[in-house]
Amino acid sequence: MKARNFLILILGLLIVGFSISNSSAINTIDELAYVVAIGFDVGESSDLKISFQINMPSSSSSSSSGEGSSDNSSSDDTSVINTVECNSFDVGVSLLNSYLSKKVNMSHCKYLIFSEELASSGIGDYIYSLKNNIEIRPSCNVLISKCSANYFLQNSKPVLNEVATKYFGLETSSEKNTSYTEAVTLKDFFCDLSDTFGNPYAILGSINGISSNNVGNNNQSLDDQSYVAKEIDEGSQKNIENLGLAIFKEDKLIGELSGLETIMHLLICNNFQNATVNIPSPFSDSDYISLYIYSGKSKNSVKIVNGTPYIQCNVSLKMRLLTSSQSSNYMTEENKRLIEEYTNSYFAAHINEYLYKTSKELNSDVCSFGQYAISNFLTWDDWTDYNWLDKYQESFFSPSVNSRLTSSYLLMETNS
Amino acid sequence: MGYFKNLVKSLFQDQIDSDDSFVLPEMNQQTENNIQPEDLLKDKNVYPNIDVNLEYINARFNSLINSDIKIREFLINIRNKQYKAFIIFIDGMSDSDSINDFILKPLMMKNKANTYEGPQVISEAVANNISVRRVKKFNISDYVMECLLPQNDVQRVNSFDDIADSVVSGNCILFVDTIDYVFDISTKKFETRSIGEPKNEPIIRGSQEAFVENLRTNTSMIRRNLSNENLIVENLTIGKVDKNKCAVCYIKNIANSDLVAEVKYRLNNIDVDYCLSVGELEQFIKDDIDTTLPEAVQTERVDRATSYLLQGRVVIVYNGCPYVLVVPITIFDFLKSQEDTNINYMAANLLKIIRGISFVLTLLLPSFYIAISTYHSELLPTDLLFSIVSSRSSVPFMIIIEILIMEVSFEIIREAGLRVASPMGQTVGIVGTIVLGQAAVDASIVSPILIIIVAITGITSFAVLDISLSFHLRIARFVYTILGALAGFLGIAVGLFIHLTILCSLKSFGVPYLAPYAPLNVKSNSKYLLKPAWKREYRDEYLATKRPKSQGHISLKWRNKNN
Amino acid sequence: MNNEKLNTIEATFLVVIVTLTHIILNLPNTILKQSGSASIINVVYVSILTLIFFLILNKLFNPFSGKDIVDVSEYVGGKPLKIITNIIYSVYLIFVAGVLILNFSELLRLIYFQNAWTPLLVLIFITAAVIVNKIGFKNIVKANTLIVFVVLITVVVIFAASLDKVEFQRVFPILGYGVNETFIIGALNVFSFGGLIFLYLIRPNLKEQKKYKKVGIISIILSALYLLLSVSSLLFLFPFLTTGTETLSVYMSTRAIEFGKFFERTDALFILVWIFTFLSYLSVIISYLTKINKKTFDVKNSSPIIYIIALLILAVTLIPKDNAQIMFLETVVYKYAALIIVFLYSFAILLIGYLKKTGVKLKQTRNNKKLMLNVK
Repeated sequence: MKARNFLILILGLLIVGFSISNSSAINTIDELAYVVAIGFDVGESSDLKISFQINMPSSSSSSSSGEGSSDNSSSDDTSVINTVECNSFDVGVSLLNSYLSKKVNMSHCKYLIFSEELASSGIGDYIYSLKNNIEIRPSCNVLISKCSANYFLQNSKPVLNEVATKYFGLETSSEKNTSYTEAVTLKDFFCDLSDTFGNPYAILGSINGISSNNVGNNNQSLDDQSYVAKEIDEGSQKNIENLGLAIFKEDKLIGELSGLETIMHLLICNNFQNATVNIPSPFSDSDYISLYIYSGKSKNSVKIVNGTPYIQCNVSLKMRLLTSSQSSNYMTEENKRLIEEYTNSYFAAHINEYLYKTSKELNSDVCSFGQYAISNFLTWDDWTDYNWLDKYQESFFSPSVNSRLTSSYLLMETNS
Repeated sequence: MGYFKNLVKSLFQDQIDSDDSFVLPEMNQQTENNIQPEDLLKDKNVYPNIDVNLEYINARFNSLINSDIKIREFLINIRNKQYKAFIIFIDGMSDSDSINDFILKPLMMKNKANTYEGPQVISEAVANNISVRRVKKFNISDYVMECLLPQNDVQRVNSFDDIADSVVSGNCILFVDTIDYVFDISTKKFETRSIGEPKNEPIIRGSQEAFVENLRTNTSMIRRNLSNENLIVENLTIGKVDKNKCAVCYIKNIANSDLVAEVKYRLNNIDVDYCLSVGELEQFIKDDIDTTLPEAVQTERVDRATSYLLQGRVVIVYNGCPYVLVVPITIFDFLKSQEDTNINYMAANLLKIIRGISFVLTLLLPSFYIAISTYHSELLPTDLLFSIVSSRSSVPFMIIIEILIMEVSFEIIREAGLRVASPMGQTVGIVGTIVLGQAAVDASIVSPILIIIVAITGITSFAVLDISLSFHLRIARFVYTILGALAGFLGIAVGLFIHLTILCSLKSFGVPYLAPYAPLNVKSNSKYLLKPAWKREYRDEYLATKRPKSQGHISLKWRNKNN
Repeated sequence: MNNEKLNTIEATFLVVIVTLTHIILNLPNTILKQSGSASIINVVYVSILTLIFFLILNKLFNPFSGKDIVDVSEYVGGKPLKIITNIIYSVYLIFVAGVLILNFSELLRLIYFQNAWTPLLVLIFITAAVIVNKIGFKNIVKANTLIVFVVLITVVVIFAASLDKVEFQRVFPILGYGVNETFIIGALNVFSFGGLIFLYLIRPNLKEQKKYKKVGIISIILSALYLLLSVSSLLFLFPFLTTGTETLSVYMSTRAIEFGKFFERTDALFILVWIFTFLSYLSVIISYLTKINKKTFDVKNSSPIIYIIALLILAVTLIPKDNAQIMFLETVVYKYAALIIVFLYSFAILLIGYLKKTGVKLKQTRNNKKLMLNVK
């Protein structure tokens, strides 16, 4: 027994020694500055210009003096943005550390923002070293901003939230409701980048005015989802807007998908949650019908015909009707079928357009059709010899859509 | 110098490993179930020969070892003839005055009734100068019944089972030679000194009876709750100067006899001048003297002690202490309340899970807080992290200092509130609340989040029912807090690992402390969560009882209406 | 010594813990590198091979009731062979334990304790293991049983939590690098069942000798199952060509999982559980080494052996100069050492022992028959 206690004492001393030897690396939560978003721009004098958005601990909540804390605290208080110019990310971090009183910690980073300019020159190396960083989580979202990343960060002020991270977290989760973009994480991006199955893509974002009439102000076109995140200069209050996807070939930005195309993309990739889509009304030329699509699945198969890929996509949709109109009755079996047919052709056309855009125009397999194609090969060598990512350009598509209008959302009975 | 010598010796020598320490042998359930010692004694009627009866009663009531079974042999005078007789009763459950005055006196003292030799006249009719006397034929049993027992409630009984039932319920039984039945005389009188309610183990539903200081009262309370003649109460004395009485209670045909022998062995081999309380006694008889963990349950509840007895454990009643000791136990017994079996098993399991969570929280919450905030801050949800950071922004201390300040002052307030006279206890509470809660936060000495952590830790330590276990947890909590501060999860894990192995090595009277989880017994029927009441078919197998089954295979026989 | 005996589940988990530690470190990654997309098939194939191997082993062990490999080698080659076997086993186990602990300490250092001094970290592990060894063998086994339970749950949790992110298509091309690589060279992956080494040692400690077969089969199936789970969660999560993770493969998959918005970065909790695993593993190894050495060299007190073995393990951890060497030791040297010792050397000794025993028996029966004939 005495031996046990003695050994435990030794163990205790060892742990104390260990703690001392490690003490310089210990940083309690007080000593850390938490980065919530990192922006990458092309630097002016060096390769990179990195902007860190750092959360400020709000002192108002800790003081219990009861003064009205909400009125005098502007949104600037919740976070600060620091920018450094450097050649690599890790050097940037240590540069930042040199003029901050606290140590930078990136374990709660939510967004990695690359400017369009940087992205088109290739971001593979940055992604690799970010992935290697132990602090940056694989669940960070990767975003390509149309403007400079710094400008993006400066304007990403929480409107409905007090804390910046919560705001970022909600911002990405909002894609569940719209399907205008996809919450691409660092892990997704990295996997696609290093994989032989497909090409990576990222969230497309920009700064737009806060008022809703700016969003999609070019909706004169047939469908207002063709809108791509754009910059609007006017308007005093600005807000970030994530809409569409940025498409990469290897690690270079080569194109972008609009909101509607993103819906198609999500449908094909089986990541679809729900969306609201306008289709032209089958009953009158000038009208639209709003459909709420709550389930979309796609069965994809890839065959290699004469050395070129032949890709079949069978999309099945389930939807409800949102539009009610005085002139037509959507409840009859006939009309229902008519709407379904219209939807089928509408979606088939758009999917086709989207697929050929990715293959012919962009030559980037963002849907990772490679993973379906690979089952045609027996061994790895066969697969790498085939060189899928180059062959994708030659592929043929035959999309088909099968939609089902399960019930109308209409509360009022309409009669024709 | 001697210290170092010992140290080196113990470092390079094996522990005297459990070869000679007491281990409960594993019993084979099948063979045990077949032979029930009581079966041999069942279904017998009283013999006409009193010596045979006496022998049988001695065997059945184990009167040689059972201290409170009293047998008094004497001679009865009936019509100037003497018959052998004896009475049996339980000390503490029968009214000894009435036994003396109204049973022994009329039977033993020479008086008119028992020296009368003439015939017993029932009726006398005088007709034609001939007096017709209806004389009762002399019958010794009728005579005793009718003339010698001035008692209001006397019955003739002839089966030993009925006799046993009456004796354990406090009656006095009179055996008379040549009669093949006995007189069951009602002499029930419990020692009802004001028996209080259990103060420290309250439950909502169930018996509200607590032990008192008097040994005999306590054993009689157990007897009253447990009507079986196989309950043995053996008396021992402990201490050389203060020869205090102590009673070992067990049920003879349930409890493992090795276990009983070991308990008696240990109690008989304590060389101390005095031992004043059960808590002290527990430390004298526990298996592992180094540990801060309790290795016996102390309870003041009669029903709890009874239920432990029925499970096959041994209860040690100590004179002068309103608590009894129960051995052997496992750590999970400390997380049991007597309430658990009284309520639906689902509800009981909910309570048990909550107690389990409390156990973990009170042990590890402060250490996890400090480990996470120092080493693993990414583990916190972002929003929570930021609110912690901002709540700490004006606190000058390191987290570990902050925690230690709060924990120590919490312990001080607890100790002060406990020891101080009860009217002042409230004052201590109020001062504690204001100083610890409000003022410390206002003065930015501690952060509000830490108040919450300490408060949760404090509350959960009360949800762990047994006070001696929560002492252990309090000690361990400090160790873990420091380990967490020094090396984060690594420190906690190393601590937990050693702690766990030590727990695995502990034994309470030969029963592994973590049974049935270590050694793991998947088929065990005494897991932490309770089964429905009708499914608790077996006793705890680690107790190796003589009667493993406590219920029939189908306990609810009334549901089988076809039979 | 009745209480030194193990029941079935304790013995099984004793074998499983070895596989688990390897799974946590680098085993799945090594298999993935070897077999690519055919890893799952390869694991199943290798498990079946191991199972068959064990069944033969069991058959060979049958005549030696209650004896371990050291006893058998004494039977085969007398005291010299006994000592040789003992030394080979000791060196192998010390080496493996040292490398694993070193690797795990490096992992911890990389993630949390950037400035810590690795030998100190190793020393903490070893001291803790020595302390529990002083508490007793049986108690280590008891604690180990509980810990393995928790670890098995975490592996399932990792797999279940990553289920919604997996791409099952990554199992294609079904044959990976080719038939040859998957089934012939891939057969060498039986080294993943290096935990089998305990099956050679565990027999004297079993409560019931008949359960030996059961212990072996259950432990192999459990190990195989968990290997399969971890390999498949890795395979489905990451493109295996460039996992970007030289080490810490399973840790990487824990980083990727999240439980809703609130519990996102739970990997520290897994690390907590894994520290338990490694402590338990180290204690088990030390206690077994102590046991066989005590028996071979007929030492009365096991405590000095505990210290010596602990120091030797510490010495092993001081050998590698950098991570590349650790990786080499862990993946390449361990692989062939496990293959040679577990699957060749021990098996050969057992086979000779078996033949000798049955030979003796045959001879005896033949002699008996001859006698009978003579009598006739």
